[in-house]
Amino acid sequence: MSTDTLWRRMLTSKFASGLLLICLLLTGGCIVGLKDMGLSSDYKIFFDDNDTDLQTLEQMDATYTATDNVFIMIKPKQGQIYNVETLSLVYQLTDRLWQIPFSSRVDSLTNYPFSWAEGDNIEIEELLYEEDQLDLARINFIKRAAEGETDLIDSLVTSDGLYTAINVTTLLPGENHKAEILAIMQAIEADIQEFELRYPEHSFYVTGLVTMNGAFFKAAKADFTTLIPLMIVFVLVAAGVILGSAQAALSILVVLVLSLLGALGLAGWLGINLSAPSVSAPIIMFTVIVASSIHIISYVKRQLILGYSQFEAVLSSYQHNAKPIIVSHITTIIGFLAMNASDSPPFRDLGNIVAFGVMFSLILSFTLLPRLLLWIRISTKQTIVTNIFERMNGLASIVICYRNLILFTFLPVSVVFASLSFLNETDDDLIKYFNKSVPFRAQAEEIDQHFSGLYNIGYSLSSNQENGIFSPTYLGFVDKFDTWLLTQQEVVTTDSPLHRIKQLNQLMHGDQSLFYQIPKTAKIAAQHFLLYEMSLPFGKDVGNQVSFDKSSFKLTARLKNMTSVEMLAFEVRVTKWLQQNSVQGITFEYSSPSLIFSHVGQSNIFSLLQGAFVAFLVISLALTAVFRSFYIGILTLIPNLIPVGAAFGFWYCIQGHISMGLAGVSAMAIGIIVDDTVHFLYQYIQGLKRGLTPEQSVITTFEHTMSAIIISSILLVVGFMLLSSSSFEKNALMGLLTSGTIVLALLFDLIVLPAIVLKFMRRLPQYAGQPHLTLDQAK
Amino acid sequence: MRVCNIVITGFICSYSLSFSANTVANSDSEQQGYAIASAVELRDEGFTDSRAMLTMELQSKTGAKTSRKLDISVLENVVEGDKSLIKFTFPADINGTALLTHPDKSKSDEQWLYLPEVRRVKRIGSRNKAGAFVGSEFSFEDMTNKELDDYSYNYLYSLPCNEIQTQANEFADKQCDVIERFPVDKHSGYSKQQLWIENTDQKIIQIEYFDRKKSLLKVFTASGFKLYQDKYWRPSLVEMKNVQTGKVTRLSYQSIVFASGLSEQDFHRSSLGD
Repeated sequence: MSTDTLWRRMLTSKFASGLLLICLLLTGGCIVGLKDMGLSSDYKIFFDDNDTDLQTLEQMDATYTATDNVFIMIKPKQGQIYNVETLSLVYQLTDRLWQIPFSSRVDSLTNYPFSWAEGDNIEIEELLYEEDQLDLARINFIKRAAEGETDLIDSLVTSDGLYTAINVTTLLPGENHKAEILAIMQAIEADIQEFELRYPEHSFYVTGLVTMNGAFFKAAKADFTTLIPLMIVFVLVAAGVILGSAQAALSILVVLVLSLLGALGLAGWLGINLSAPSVSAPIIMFTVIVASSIHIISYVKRQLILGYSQFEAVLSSYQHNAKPIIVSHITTIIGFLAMNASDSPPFRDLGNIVAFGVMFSLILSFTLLPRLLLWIRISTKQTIVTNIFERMNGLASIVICYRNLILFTFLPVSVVFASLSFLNETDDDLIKYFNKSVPFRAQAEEIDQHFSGLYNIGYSLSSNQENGIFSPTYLGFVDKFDTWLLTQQEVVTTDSPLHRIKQLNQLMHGDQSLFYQIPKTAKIAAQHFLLYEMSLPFGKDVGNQVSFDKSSFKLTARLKNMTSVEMLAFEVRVTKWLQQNSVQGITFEYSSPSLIFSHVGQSNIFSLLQGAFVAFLVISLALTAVFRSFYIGILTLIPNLIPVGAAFGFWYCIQGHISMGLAGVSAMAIGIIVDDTVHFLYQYIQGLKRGLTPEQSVITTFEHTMSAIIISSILLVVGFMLLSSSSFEKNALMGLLTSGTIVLALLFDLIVLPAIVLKFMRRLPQYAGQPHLTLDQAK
Repeated sequence: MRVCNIVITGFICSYSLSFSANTVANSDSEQQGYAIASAVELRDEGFTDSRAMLTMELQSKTGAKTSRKLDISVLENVVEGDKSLIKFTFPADINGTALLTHPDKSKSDEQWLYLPEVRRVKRIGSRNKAGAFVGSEFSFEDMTNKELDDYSYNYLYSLPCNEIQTQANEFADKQCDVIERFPVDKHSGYSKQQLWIENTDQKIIQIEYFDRKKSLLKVFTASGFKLYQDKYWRPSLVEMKNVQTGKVTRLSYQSIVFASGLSEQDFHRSSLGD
């Protein structure tokens, strides 16, 4: 059966109608899966359940009280915090924050259990027990106490006295994570708003893990509700203008929306939740699909203008474009599937959802779209856009004329740029997951300048025996570790019961600073600590720092705001110290949300690059198979690999940092840009087969295909540029870099690829096209 | 009036002889709630003194356990409130450590802790009533003296005791009164407590504690009640489960002795080291 009769049948036969029905039912079935689709609100989705890092963190959260928190920084607009107004604000807000849903602990300056010696007695009392205690004497007392208290400075007050903070620890039941996070955030926002009104002379800033979770959710939701409608409008307008037909644009939109819903629904069936990174999947999917439909429809339009009937026009478009479209869809799918190499589930989800969408688009483009195209009326009016592309021949002759110059200047320059890409630093920064316009990022960055906000590592140091933490050997080791940590430049402060134990010893010895040291025996330490525990107010138990059987401490190193590379370097240095100075019987483990983000960020960059490499190999092999020539397969490497490399080279010049989202660009960009190469080479080879000279073939290819290539590239660039308005910084940068890559790839396809084929592919490769010949002969 | 707190059930009791104005209940259900609470404390009058040996077992969220052993002595004092002495005997590090509490109606209670290793008695602040007792799920507030006037009350309903799952066997044919009480002191860790009281012997068999944001925080259950001196019912096992953290503390009583002749001298700070 020839392709001609095959396509005739596809457009008319009952069998084809049946096939269409099956495809639509299949799509419909998938769409039902949307009911299981949700937006995720937990930073833990960035990790696999069996991720060893996440497991360590969760184990530490089980041993010590979990560290999910909301951190509120307060600054009087004028002067220090040690005044009646600020302190009563802190007192009242502390009181109020106990009412926050799921709050289990509130730490502030006013409810800090301060201990001091008074004669022979030891007093352990909240710095401000009743609000009406607040007079000048009490303010001075609080000021003196805070300034000398290791556990307060840099944790809840700054040493310059200009900032104070309240930390709310929350304990989520985890039954409905999203609702719980949102309930907390809503309550916090309401309280802050109220206090801002009541205390206009104070500024408030909020960060913390719960806040970050909320921000992830909000960023995803904002993207979903603004970017997708924007995208739909863009597609309608762009396709309408380019094709000069609203009906044609609408038929593209039908395919698009069905593919989108089908892909999201299928993801829903598979239990994938959308999250901030994967919420960009619909936008990417739209862009990719619309670019390929344009190839089909613009050809139809061309034939209509030439005077063919609508049926003949649609038929010949499919005959002409079917193969390159199938190939380009498949290469795109491969590119996005390559994101499965990622260690972080949301990035895999992103790749898979787009791959699903492109798959649906492939199915629908060959079943539903041709029916729609026969059904609608497409105007035969020339559009401005089609007029412009009539002038493609001019460009073709320029390229033919200057091909050597192009090859020997453009190519080396690109290679130089591509080599710059290796200078990019791999880097990831938790706060910079968000766009500067996201309040969370602005506030978190402000807080990080005064306190250590999100960056820390918790070290669990275990004596491996019940009540073992009181032994002088154990405490000595912790002391040595603590002292060493404090000499490290990354460390802002440390947080552990060690200071408390030394301070109790001092207080028990008449408050002589000479005795600020580890007690001589385990019994003394244990009994001092019992005294301390007996004196703690509600919610202030030591469970966040001491395991319940008193076998281990958690020592938290609070760090400066740093990149993942610096974080990992610090981690390695600390681990090395712990190993070199190990004491028999004492074991350690460590983790923190910011640390595991650094890990996943760093490993993800490499796994995504590996994935891109694999995609590249697979795509090259696929092209080798399609063109039945190893030579062509190799040749396609040039216009596909170099633009990606050059784009990363440009990135080095303007930004220089590759984070985990950007590494994914390489994989998906390859899948997309290879499409244009396929279209070009396919038409060029067809020309040669028809007996045209290479030059003639290049000119016809420019006339027939280049306009569609340019239009689809522009659509892709605009689509990915839209992504750069995402409030999720990773998506924004991804959009920017991908559109840059596509521009470069377009330049290559316009200028360098014709020059390459004219130089290196003047004849049909040995086996290329032969099966077609036999088909034709058979006919 | 005197009311016994149920946690170490009656081991630490206190008195309040006066009805202050704010205890005058003004609705039927408030009066009924108050009456039930009064009946509970009446049952415990006249025990003079008691001594109990018990094991406190702490269980973490993951099920790991650790334990302490302590002796608790209580001296009845109708005027000032019951004095209590808690002595730790295990683990070895804190063996001999003792906490003495003298209730004081007019101001905060007085508390002293004896540390045997340094042979020192230290007075400790008692504004920590809402704080946890030695890392357990019990707070001082749950364990120490309560006066009837420390709460306002509200009667809810009565139901067969076996409708509380955990108590199904022991109270199979008994009826329970359910009352709420609301702490007057704003420094309490709780906004509300809901009590299930078996209504023939006034045994408190379950309490739900609600935190300051009115969420259920802890559930207390008592079982294995035994009768002492033909008058005083005491559970042999009590459990406090923190439903927010999943941690549990269990107290199991090895022995309870009433009227063993303890004197004021035994509850004086100078005898702490003995």
